[in-house]
Amino acid sequence: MPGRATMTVMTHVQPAQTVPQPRARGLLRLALRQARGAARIDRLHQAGSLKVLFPREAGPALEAVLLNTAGGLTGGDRMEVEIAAGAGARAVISTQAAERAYRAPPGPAAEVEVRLRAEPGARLDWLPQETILFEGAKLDRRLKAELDSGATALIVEPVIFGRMAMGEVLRDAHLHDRWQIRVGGRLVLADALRLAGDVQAQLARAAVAGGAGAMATLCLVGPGAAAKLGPVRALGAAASLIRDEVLFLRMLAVDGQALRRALIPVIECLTEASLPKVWRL
Amino acid sequence: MATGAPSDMTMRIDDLLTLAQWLAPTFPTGAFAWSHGLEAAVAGGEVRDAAGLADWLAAVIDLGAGRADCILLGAAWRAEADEVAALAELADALAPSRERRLETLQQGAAFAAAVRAVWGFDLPDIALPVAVGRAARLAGLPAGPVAALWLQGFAGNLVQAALRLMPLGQTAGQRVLHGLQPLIARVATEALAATPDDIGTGTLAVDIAAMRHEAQYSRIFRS
Repeated sequence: MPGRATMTVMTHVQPAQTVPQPRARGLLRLALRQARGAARIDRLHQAGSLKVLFPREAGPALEAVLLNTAGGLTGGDRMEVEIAAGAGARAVISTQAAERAYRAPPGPAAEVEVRLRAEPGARLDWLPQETILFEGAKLDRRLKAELDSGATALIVEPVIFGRMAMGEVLRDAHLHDRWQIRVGGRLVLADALRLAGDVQAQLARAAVAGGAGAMATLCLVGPGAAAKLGPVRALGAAASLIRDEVLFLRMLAVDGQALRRALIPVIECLTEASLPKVWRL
Repeated sequence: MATGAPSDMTMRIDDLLTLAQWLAPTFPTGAFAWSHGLEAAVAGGEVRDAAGLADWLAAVIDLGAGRADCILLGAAWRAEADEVAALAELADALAPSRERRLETLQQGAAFAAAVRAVWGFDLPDIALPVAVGRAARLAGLPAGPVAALWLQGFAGNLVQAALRLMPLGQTAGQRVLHGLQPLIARVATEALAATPDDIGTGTLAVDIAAMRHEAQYSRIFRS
């Protein structure tokens, strides 16, 4: 259809040349409390391009699926997610789609900040789908978890370096992902992942990724962490019980598909609720 | 006078001797017992020869714990007394595996114990780079030489470990270490200009090697 092609060209070219890209903002605040044997929504606030869906209200753990209606992240975007689970409340949080970090124009990086809070006996499983870094992407992400003693958090962040189906490799990209997890106010894990510049060349090095194109970092913090060390190792995963309540894993895979195949059994082993639908193969 | 400017490499002779004593392999930190995951990397075939060792160590220095620890060292050097505990907590929490955590905590405690006993400094048992940075501040040593020599000591210790793990001669090992010299100088300078918020490592396979080492059947190193 020639008419359609013309329109596509106009809408694509015009904004890029005349007006700066609008910066997407998203804010999601969700508070849960345990009542009548299940996690209930206590407070919910969503603004900008972040939305949350609750596909299944029944069951002991609330399932929440986040959605970025901006369709991806680019430089200057800022997303904030804050999830608080009251005593005994459980929730499994995932994302409806893989998050695409697009090429960023010169200027600030896309910023994502996640704050998790869990009271005694509460459990938050943070299981977003993969973040796909496009060539030229600039992403700064921070995750802060504050757990009371006796609370549990499972945190998983998978990353795919470039759109491999298109043969894309990252010659100029930036990812800085900083986690700070506190239990009873004490910092028990600070993970800081940083890859910048010619990411493809770095991933090829034996000490970095040995040529892998996808990775995941996983962390289970809570009283049940120690009991999971043997089971995840039995699945072939590299894991360490850094301290008695902190189980930490890193995974490398040739591509996103291989990562998913390796990751799903490990997440199933670490989570006690059923895996969100989006995570099933 | 120590200025702390990363480029300031001038030292009085007594300061130089103190620093050389602290960072010598003979200082009782037990550094020789730790391989930072190298033992598992050799066992797994990721590091096979001098060239592979050189690239592995270069990545550890540039993209891994070398730079991160140098940033912590510099921050500890600049810190006031009441800020040291938070840096020590961060250094402790940054360890990506149980053995890597012990590597930095036990060497730090041994370093602090020796410095307390001999120099009389008020230095608690804290992670190694924070302990070295704080001790250097208390002794009035300039940060630039401390960071560069500390980084070379870290790399040199891993070269020594490699000599025990793979077919590599003393001379080849020293050639690897010498080849790292420009990188060590650059990373030490850059790290002293950075803050703890800039810390970020990309050496995922080094972390995985350290994790695998815990389950390795036969081993001579503690990490």
